[in-house]
Amino acid sequence: MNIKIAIADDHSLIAEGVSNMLRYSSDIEVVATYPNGKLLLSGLEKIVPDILLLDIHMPDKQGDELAPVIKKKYPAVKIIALTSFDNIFYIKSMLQHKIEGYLLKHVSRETLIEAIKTVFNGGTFLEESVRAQIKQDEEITKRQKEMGTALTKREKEILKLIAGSYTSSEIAEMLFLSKRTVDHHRESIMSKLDVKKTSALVKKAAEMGLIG
Amino acid sequence: MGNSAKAYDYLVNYMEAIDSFSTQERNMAIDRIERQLQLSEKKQEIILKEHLLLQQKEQLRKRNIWLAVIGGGLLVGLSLSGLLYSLYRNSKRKIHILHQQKEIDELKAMINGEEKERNRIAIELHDNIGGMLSAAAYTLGTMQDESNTLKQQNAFNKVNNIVSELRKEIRKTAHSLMPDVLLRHSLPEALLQYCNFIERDTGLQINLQNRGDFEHLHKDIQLMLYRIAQELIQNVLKHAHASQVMVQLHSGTGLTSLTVEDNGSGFDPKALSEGRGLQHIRSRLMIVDGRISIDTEEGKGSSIYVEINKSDDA
Repeated sequence: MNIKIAIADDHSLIAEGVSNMLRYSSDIEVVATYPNGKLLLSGLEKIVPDILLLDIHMPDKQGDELAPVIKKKYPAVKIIALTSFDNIFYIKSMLQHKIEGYLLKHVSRETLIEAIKTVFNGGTFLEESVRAQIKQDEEITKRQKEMGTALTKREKEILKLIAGSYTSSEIAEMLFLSKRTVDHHRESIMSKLDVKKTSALVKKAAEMGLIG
Repeated sequence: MGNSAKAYDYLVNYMEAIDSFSTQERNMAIDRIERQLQLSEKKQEIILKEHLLLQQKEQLRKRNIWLAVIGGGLLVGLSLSGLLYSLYRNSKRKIHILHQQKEIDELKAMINGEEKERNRIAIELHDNIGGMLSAAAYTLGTMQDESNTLKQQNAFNKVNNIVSELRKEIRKTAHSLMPDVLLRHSLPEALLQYCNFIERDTGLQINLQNRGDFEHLHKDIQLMLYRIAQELIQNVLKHAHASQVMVQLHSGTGLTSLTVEDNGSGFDPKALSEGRGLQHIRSRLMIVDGRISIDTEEGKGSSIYVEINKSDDA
């Protein structure tokens, strides 16, 4: 049984290149190519492929707009993003629409065919560098959480003065800053330490060993 | 004759009486005159004093008039010169402001033009040139599949490698020119992506913290803060020999700020104030009424803080 593929990409050379790569796979057939989102949507009404290779950056519609529409109307169509954007935001925004795969355009023929087969058989396929990105993102998010309360030099300086019960105006004068700037730092410190009042701030800062 | 003697006596008495009377009278008259004289002297004195007083009063009045005249004149003169001076100052200030405004406008136009151009080149590189290279790579791949002898040819493999390297380079260049994330997402996301990229590429550990709402911040301001962060992170990479950097974005009530702090070698702020791209940052900040403060010491890392006023039209 042939796996029917549709390609949506505004660069005809890319669509042609990908078609050529798949030409020698006897069980894969490219049934249609579309240069933009509009033609893709109207084309899907006539030919429903098994898998759609979707460029996420086309002139009229973005991949993260098209994916949910197609998923809703044609739940059987599996989507593999094929894009030159490998940043975590596109990856995340596409994956949240429950697409089945994410490939980068520098994909090798072997990987492309592997991805198509995996997805056709009900699996998901993320290219290695995409997986690495997701992993890095998770690590950094975790590290950020741990680092959440790290204060800048200036914030530490101001926190100590707040603990010494100086007012913003007094601190401003002492550090040659405007009161607005001091208040801005104060806002940031309170938010980092997750407190609403100065009294609570001083108490929490003392508990955390940030002052003294 | 006893009468004549008597008469004489009377006469004498009379005479004496008259005499005494006249003496008395004279004395009294003298007295009176003297008193009158004294009185008139006193009067005179009073008159004199009054006259003096009057004179003094008159002098005072004249002086007052003079004072008033001089004072008034001075006042008029002063206020006139003050007015003229303030007019002069005002016009000078206006000219200064106009100059500054012109400078700012020119800078704005330059930076806007620069950004537009960067944007255009980035899109061109990423979408068109990158796309064509991808197509070339696919074709090379297909050629390889079609011909087994081609696989063994060094020249073919070389071209294949060059094309794949070229694609990586172009993607990198396009990205550093204009982060597409910033065009469609917000500053914290774009910056996070940049930091992740730097961390992957160089091993420098960057901790990014975001606070507040950036959605409503004008795109130009977001782009500017992104550029400044980029510049500061590049400085750290080039000069600081740091292992860790903290990047903090904070969108507060009246201000938006960016802090870039590293644990590296620090620098002498005076010696390098004109270098390190700081001049570029300063001129960008001038446009939006922003400020930069640098806290660094040799051997003690550096902490650079940038703040921009929040306003509806900025």
